[in-house]
This record gives sequence, C-alpha cells and structure tokens, in this order.
Amino acid sequence: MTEFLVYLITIAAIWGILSLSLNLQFGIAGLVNLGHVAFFMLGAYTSTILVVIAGWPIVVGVVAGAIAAALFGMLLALPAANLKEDYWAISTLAAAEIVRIIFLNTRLGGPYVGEAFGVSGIPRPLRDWFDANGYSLADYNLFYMVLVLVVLAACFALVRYLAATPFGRSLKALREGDEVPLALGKSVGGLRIRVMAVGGALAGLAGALFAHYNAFISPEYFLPLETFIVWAMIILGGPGNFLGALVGTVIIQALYNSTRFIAPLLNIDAQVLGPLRMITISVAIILVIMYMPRGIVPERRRRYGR
Amino acid sequence: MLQVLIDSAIRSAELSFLAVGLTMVYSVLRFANFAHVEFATVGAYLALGLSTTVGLPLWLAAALAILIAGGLGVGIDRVIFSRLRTASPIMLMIASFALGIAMREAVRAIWGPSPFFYNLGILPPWRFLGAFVTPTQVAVIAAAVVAMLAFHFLLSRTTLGIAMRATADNATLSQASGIATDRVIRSVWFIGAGFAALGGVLVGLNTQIKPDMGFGLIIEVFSAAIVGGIGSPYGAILGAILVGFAENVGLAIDWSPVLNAIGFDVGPFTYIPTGYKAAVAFSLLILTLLIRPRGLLGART
Amino acid sequence: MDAEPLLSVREVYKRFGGVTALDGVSVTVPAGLIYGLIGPNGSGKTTLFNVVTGFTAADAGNVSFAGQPLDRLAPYRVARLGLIRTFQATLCPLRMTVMENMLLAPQQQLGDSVANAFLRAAEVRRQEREHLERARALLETVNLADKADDYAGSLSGGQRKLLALAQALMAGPRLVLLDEPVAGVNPRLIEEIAAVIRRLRNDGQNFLIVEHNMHFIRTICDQVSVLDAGRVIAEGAAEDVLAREDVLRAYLGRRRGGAGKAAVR
Repeated sequence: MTEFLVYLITIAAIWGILSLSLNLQFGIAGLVNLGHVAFFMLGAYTSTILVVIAGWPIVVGVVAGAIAAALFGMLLALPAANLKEDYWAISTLAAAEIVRIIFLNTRLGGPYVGEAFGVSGIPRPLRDWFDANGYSLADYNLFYMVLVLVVLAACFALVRYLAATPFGRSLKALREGDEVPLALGKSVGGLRIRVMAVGGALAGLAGALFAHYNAFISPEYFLPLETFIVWAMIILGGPGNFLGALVGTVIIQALYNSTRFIAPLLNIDAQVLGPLRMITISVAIILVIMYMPRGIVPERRRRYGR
Repeated sequence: MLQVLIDSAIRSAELSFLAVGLTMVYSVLRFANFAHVEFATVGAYLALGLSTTVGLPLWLAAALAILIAGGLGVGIDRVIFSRLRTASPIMLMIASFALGIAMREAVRAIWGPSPFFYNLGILPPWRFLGAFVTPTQVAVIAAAVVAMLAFHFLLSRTTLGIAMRATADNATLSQASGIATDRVIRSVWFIGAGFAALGGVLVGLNTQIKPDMGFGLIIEVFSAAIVGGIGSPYGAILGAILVGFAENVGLAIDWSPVLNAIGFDVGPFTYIPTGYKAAVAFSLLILTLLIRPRGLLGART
Repeated sequence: MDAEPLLSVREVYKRFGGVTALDGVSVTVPAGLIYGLIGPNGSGKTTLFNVVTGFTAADAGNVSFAGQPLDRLAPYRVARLGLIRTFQATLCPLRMTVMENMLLAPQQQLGDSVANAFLRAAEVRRQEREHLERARALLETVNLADKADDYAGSLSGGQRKLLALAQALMAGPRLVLLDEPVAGVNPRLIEEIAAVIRRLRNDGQNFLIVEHNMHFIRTICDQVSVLDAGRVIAEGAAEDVLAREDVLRAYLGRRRGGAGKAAVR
C-alpha cells in the first residue's frame, strides 16, 4: 500500500509541475496553449535520447530537456501576434500533434527503439548508488518521490515569485488584451515568448523527471488527452492561482486513481472502469465551467494597504 | 492514379459532413466545438445498435440515428452551452473538449473498445475505368453530393437558411431585426449534428466502427473548416475537398523530382510515409493560419 | 514659442476599405499646453490617435515626436519614447486592482526582465517601493487612494477614466494622449477631471486630448484642431475656434434637428 502511495505522490508531483507551468501560461498570461503536452514530450525525449543513446549524464539530459521545451515554447509564441486567440490555440494543438507524429515515426536507435516501440531502459539517477549501498527499490522510490517534491516546491516558489514581479504584472495585463500593455511600453510579443519559454522549461523538466522515473517512454504517453487533463486540473483548481493548480492536480489525480478502489465495491466491469473514470473527470470539468468558473481556489489579489 | 482520386473524393465527402456542422456552430456561437466529431461516432454506433439489436434495416437505422443525433445536439446545447453563452471562447472550447471525451468514453463503455462492422454481407466491388470502387464508397460520394445540394438549397432558398446565414454574419443584428436566433441556433445544432452522424454512418460503412472513429478525424475536420474559412459552410466543403485530396494525393506522389530539384539528394521513389498522413492536414492548417487565417472563403474579421 | 513642436503630424492619410478616415491631416502640437482634438463622431479623431501612437499604420504622411519620426514604429516603442495614451473604452485591466494597474505603468522597470527578477531581486524590490510611493501620491490626486486595493472592474465608469489618467501619468510621459477622457462621465466628475488636468498642466505636463464634449474642451484646452470627415477645418486658440460658425455647424448643423445632441455628449 505504501508503495502505491509513494508512486501516486511522485506522479502527482510531476503533474503538479505541469499544472504550474500551464497556469503560468494561461492563468497568468491568458495564453490558450492546447499543445502543452509537447513540452512534456520534448523534455522526456530529449533527456532520453541524450542519456540513453548518446550516453550523457542524467543531469545534462534533464537540463537539455528543459531547454528544448523552452525553445519549442518560444517557437510557438512567435506567430501569436498575428493570430486570433482561438486560431493560435488550434495551431498549438496541431503543432503538438506534429511533434508526436514525428517521434512516432522516427527510429531512435537500433530496431525497436523509438517509433511506436518507445524507448526503454532509461536510467534512474543515483540508482546504482542505492543498489551498491544495500537500499531496496522501495527506498529508492521514496528518494525519488522526495526529489520530485523538492523540485515541485522550487517550481512553486519560482512561479509565485515571477507572478509578483513587474514581469508577472505585465502578463496579467496581457490577459485582458494587447492594447494596454502596448500603450504602456511593453513588448507583448516579447512577453509571450518569455512566458512560453519559462512555462515550457518547467514542463520539459517534468517530462525529463518522468522519463527517468518510468524508465520507459513512448508516444502513447503524450497524447492530446494529457494536455486536457492538465487543463482540467487548473480549471478545477482555479486559473490564476498556483495553489489552486496544485489543488486541482490532487483532486483529479485522486478521482483518476480512486476509481480503482471504488470499482470492486460497486461491482463495475473492468472494461467500463477506464471510460467511467474519464467520464467522471469530464463531467466534473463541465460542471465547474458552468457553475464555478473561477475554480475551487480563485485568484487572489495582492493588497498594498495604505 | 484513379484509385487515388477516388480515395480522395471519398475522404473529402466524409470530411465535408463533419466540417459543415462544425463551421456552422462556430459561425453562430463563436466557439470551436471539440465535441462535434463525436456526433459522427454516436451516429455510427446508434445506427449499429438499431440495426443489430432492434433489427431494423440499415437505411432506417441510419435515418433514425441521424434524427436522434440531431436531437442530441439540440439537447446538449440546451443543457450545457445555452448556459455558457457569455463564457469566454476558451472555456467553451475546454468544456466542449470535456464533452467530447465524455461522449467518446460513454460509447466505449457501452459497446467496448473493439471495432464493429455494419452487417451488409460481402458486396463485390465494381470496376470503374480501371479502378475498384465498392458500392459503399459510391454511396458515400452520392450521399455527400445529394446532402450538400440539399444544404445549399436550404441556405439559399428557405427562410430558415437565410436566417442562419444572417445570424452567422451578425448575431446581435439578427436578434434585433427579429430573426428568432434561438430557433436558428437549434436548427444549426440539429443539422450540424445530424450531418455529422450521417458522416459517421458512412465512415462506418466504408471502414469500421470504433470509439475513436470521430476523434481520429478531428484535426482533418478542423483543418478542412479552417482552410475553407471557418464560418462559411461552402468554405467547409471546399476545405474538405482540399484536405481530402491533399492527404491522398500528397502521399501518393513521388516527391523525388521535387526534392532533387531543390537540392536534396534522394533516390527515386521518395514518398511521404503513411504515418504522416495526418501531418499533411496539420501542415495545411498551420499554413493557412500563418498565411491567410480567415481561410479561403472566410469573412474578414 | 519657436521651440521645436512636441508632436508634428504632417499630411496623414488613412483609408479603411472604402472610407477615408484621415484625408491629409496636419496638426502641430507645441509643448507646454493642453491641445485639443475635437470634432463630431466619425471625424477621424481616434484614428489619428491610433496612427500617432502606432496602433494603426498610416497610408501616407508622417508623424514625429520631439523631432523623432514615429513612422512604422510598433506601439510599444512609441510609448517608450514618452507618448502614453489612454483608450476611449477605458481598457484598464479589470481583473487587476487599482494599485496593480498603477504599478504596471512605469517604464523600464528592472523587474520587466525575468533574469533581473532573480539576479537583482533586492533592486527590483527597491524599485517597487519607490513606484508604490509615487503611485499612492498620484492616486491621491485623482481621489482614488482609498480604492487602491479594489479591482478596477469594481470602479464606476468615471472612476475608471480617472484611473486611466493616473495610470498614464504614472508612466512618466512627455505627452499624454487622452482619448475621450470624460465621455459618459457625470458632470461633477468632469469638473474634477478638468481640475486635475489643469493642475498637471501647470506643473508642466503636456496633454493632447481627443474629446467631443465642447464644454469640457472650452474649459481646459489652450489650443485646438477641429476635424470633420477626416480633414482639419479649423485650428488655433480654443476660444476663437470654438466661436466659429463653421465649427459649430459641423457639430450641430448636419444632424436633422439635432441641435442638442452633440452638446449632450
């Protein structure tokens, strides 16, 4: 049972980083990024390729993953000035799918490496050290969980801080239109590029962390559905509020995984379980959008007092 | 080559059913309905259920499925989207994406993930100028032509159709001038969902029926609608033709002469791998958004 | 008054589809006074504003600010030169508080850069404190000090106009362009806004104001240009121009029996 809990918390923490990233892009800056999973994927694959195939150290891989995702974010931000909001949103979706299709069709090493087969044997950081010193797998997993939680905490502090800076303020103004930021001397194109880069880097980091935890990745893990789940998390939790994003993450993760336990109680057929899980989450999202659009933890204002 | 053209025509026909409804809803309600393609899935499965479980002949089952899907569209608007008329477009998009998932998973929960086929027996293909065409494929193209003509008639000759076009152009103005916008909205949902359901039945006839059948087409459908000019039903048809042909022709032609001419040194017989088929539609979409965002027949916003 | 004009607009043309919004408009705004740009609805005032501030590109003609040409500059670059504008529709972000709106405005904040936010955090914080002080003072001038922590969306229309004005001033502009600063504002508040602007002018702030409330223009503008159908039909000292027959006719005459309409706006 604890094993499972450790696993759950680790995965939830990785999703948490994704939520923070998307919340920065949408909740703060108002950018409708429907291709968010691409950052996750680029982070995972970049680190995997550099570490498994090119043999570089894991740390380098993880950093490179974050950078690759950041660069992709900047690329996506470039045409945003010329496109209406919903058109840009759709093109991010299309771009993410193209990235996935490319990885789906690219052989990354010998036969059965890359393409739909994915890449396995991704090394876990410090695993050897743990082995050599007599620690069990459970101990290692605990370590990794703590590692991811620490990274999550750091990301949380980072985005909260950024949102409170003049940069963050400009992003919040950008949410409501280009005109006021432009009239006040802010380069809206530059703002978008920067927020997509920072958001991308965080999500890429999450991707690399996932790859080195799961030890295996394939394009199947990076479907548009993943983007939707992250959106669900921030909408449920409260767009614009980073704590809300984490709350949303926990709730969706709980919903997702609790059906596992409820099913035997309610005598639900295994085949129906998966779909039922998704239906529950979807309905929850629709209800939140209809009746509680500010989410569970709405955005809070900063007070300056007298 | 003729085979490629026929495949293209079929794909275009299928896409047009879905793209037209999508673009109509966008033009009247101003949001991209990500659940639209699921009406195709639902329609296909309903027709399946009615023909196998209830035992109706397929044509009747399909007709009923279309009507039910249309009603479902109206119902969905009534329950969900009518309460979101003032919501921001992104919230509508997310809600529609969630709805799409719910519809798709409901189908998966009820019928299971394995594919089904309509029970038509084996129909021998016909030879047509050196290529093979199955009767179902002919049915797809014929149905599309008839449906689009009927739709054109609706839009240009009937009061409802004219009201639909007016509302698409300017919703506030239409409401002010007494055109019953609610009625138009209901009609748009009914026709859009119905068309999608018909498209779904035809896709099911032509290939197979599975829970992802609608969602698998989502980017092609969006590409068709946007390339043609979102908001314009004729644009949707045009877009569907372009995307259908681009996908099939693009994959069928040998790109080596072109690539060699630009400077890439490739051997003869260089084709786009089939895995990249969807990427063709994506690329058209992105190209359109970058070069001419309003599409071919779309209005300048 | 031989000094270089602050803002110089020369022979600007702009067409939108079939409509000529600006038909060879020339305006010269000297420093040190409140300049008004008036005219009936549709005369091209806001289009001229948009051209000057870079939000719309002119088809022909040029604009220069303190000798520097503004042609083809992006709006944010125009702003960085010291030309700060407001919008007719008062676009102050509604989901931000009044104080947040104010803190948005200062130019070249260290904290605008992500790198600086981390590497020079202490300095960024210091700048924030300075801006906070200045913002509080400005909010006092426009009587919004006690609303500092309220969302801009909770303010009344007139209060939002005041916020927009304060926000523009917070940016430390050389020239403030106000787009209909009193449209739809109640008369008492209009007086207040006029008083604020006059005080600021006396302290050396330059204003270019688009309005079509004649009374307001009369009370605060030193000089005006009158636009009608995209052309300048009169310019000069406000009193003189506003007494002219053709100007009054442009405002009132063409409306069928609408003598009272323009004045009410």
